[in-house]
Amino acid sequence: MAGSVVPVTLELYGAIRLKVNRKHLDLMLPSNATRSDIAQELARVCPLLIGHVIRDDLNDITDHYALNLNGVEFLDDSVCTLAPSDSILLISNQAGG
Amino acid sequence: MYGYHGKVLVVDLNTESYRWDVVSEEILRQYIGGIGLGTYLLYKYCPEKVDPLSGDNPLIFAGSPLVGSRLTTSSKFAVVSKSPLTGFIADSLSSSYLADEIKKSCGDGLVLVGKSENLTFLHIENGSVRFLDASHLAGMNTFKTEEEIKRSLGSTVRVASIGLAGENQVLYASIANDGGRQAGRCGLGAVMGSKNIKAVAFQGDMKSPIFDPEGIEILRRDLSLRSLGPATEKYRDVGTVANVSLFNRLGVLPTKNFQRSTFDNADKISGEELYSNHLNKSAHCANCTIGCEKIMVTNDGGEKKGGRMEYESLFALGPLCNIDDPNIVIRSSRLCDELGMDTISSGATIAWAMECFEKGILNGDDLDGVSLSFSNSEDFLHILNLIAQRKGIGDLLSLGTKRCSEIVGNGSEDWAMHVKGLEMPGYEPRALKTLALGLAITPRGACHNRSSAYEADLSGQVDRFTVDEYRGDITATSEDFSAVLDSLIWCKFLRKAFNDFYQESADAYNLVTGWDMTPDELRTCGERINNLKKLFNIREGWSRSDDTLPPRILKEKLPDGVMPGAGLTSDELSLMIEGYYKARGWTEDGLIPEYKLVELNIAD
Repeated sequence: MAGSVVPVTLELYGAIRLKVNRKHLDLMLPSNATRSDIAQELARVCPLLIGHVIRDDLNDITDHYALNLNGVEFLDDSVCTLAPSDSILLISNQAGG
Repeated sequence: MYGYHGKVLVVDLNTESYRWDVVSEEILRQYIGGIGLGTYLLYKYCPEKVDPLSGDNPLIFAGSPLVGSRLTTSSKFAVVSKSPLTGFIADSLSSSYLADEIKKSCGDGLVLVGKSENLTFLHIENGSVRFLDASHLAGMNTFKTEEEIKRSLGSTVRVASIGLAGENQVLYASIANDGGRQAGRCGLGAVMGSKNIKAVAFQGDMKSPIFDPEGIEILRRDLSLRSLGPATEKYRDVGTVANVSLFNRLGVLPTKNFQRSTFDNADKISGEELYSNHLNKSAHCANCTIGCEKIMVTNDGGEKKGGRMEYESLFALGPLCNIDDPNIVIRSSRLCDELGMDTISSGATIAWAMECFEKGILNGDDLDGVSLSFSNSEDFLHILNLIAQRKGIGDLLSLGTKRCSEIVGNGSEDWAMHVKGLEMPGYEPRALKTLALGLAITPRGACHNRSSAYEADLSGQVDRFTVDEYRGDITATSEDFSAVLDSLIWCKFLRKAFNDFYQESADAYNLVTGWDMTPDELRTCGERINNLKKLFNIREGWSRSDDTLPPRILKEKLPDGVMPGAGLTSDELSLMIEGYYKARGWTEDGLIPEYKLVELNIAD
């Protein structure tokens, strides 16, 4: 990790919320974070999700999940700028129903 | 012929006669089955401009080539007719054992035409039809009707039935099968009721062999394994009710008749809450390995009630009416299934009435002591019963939001949340702009499933708060995908388990039929099916102005959610619709040019 580090909330939904038994997790992430940064920090905080939500190489989350910043913007491969009190939503890619 | 029978059973209720009509290999290959074949049969058997509740309107049950293959999620069928709610095409899917029995008793489908003189139930065995008195079933709920018919005919029959709502032609009545599953949308139960058909019992052993049984078995095992992986996790674990808390966070959970897009008490009725405190068990349709059905039970100390709980039922009977009591929602959903009423249209119509009450347009004099205030869960079950009985205020509400608002007036059309007469599903279009286009253009009315346009918004493929004409390409492509999915028929919840949907679907189709369908040909089938649906609607009087959204969506901004102030103007919607017509190769007025009909080999 490089640059300043900010506290960010990772919100959990559905099956992952039940699996972890938490509505959210507290992460510490660089203010200019990549998906890889998020995956690695999530793996540190909640290793239970490795292989399931987080890829085994810890460099990204799996294709079955998406990351969304503050309910507004989906995170792609580019660097995202994070501020304290930001929330990242961990969302299943199985939309709708 | 493999995978098909090459014929459908046509039953004339006027004369109590029946016959086989041939369906050619060419037609089967062009329209596949399910929604596609049902649309073809509707176009063929439905006279132009027919009254949907007259005997002349056909009621069609369409099977599919994959039924009988035991491929996971393939035990599905379509019900198709002209909708009494919209006056346009009505198509609805349902699942489980009945799908197999329709194919074994009626070939590739059943077409009911005419009207029985008295309440009747049909017993169809290997194409032979008995017309039986159903007076003893009158008023009986769908669960008991099925039980009673099985008691009299044996447990191997499979039953499609209507409840009191269908008998009384509530315009959004549904058709039930296999213990409470519903062909729910568009008022198909009202069409069945208008024919005086309480139920159809299917039974048979007609064979439609599979071309390559060994190949299908290999594919079946592979797909089943994939269906147990992460690609279906959401549906397997919590089920579609998981949408509530996420949609609330994203500001796309329609609340209080679309006045808001977040629900203050969403946590009380979230999927996670229901899963933790109300889940009795998960259940499966026949030949399904996913098991998305979550059987929820009440825990309020009253009489235990339980039933399937889906997101759409939960949204419509909960947040849409500002109700936060999970026990009331479970009881309401179960009651709708018993009465045979679509949960979305039921909740949406009551929500419309609640807003009329809030604004003083419906008052005590109209209501016979029933309270229609938002959040009032005490009278909710009573109102549902009144609708099915068509008594008191229920008689008005049995007509759905479009007609109710036309009758009541006073500006209530502005908050009648429907498209073409079909009530809106649980997605906020002002914060899901691609979905907004999908809702506006779908031939059956406000439906999220037939276009699947929400996928683009909820995956980050597009910015869900902005519009552009390219949403038309996205929507047309996903609509064609859905048409193929709904015609083969695969369950929508399997879609993420495919590596290459069109290739794998063509492979499955060819293993069953022995034909040589290509992925591109299958893609063209999807386009053809959507064009034929549109052609039917044009024939029945569709015009450009029918592709729109409710005034509330186009006039009012969202007050809450992650993007307060978000809205959708008529100009923005028109831009997307123009892009969609262009993507389809239609005229600026949304009509299908002759060359397109020729290109798609659609005979008019």
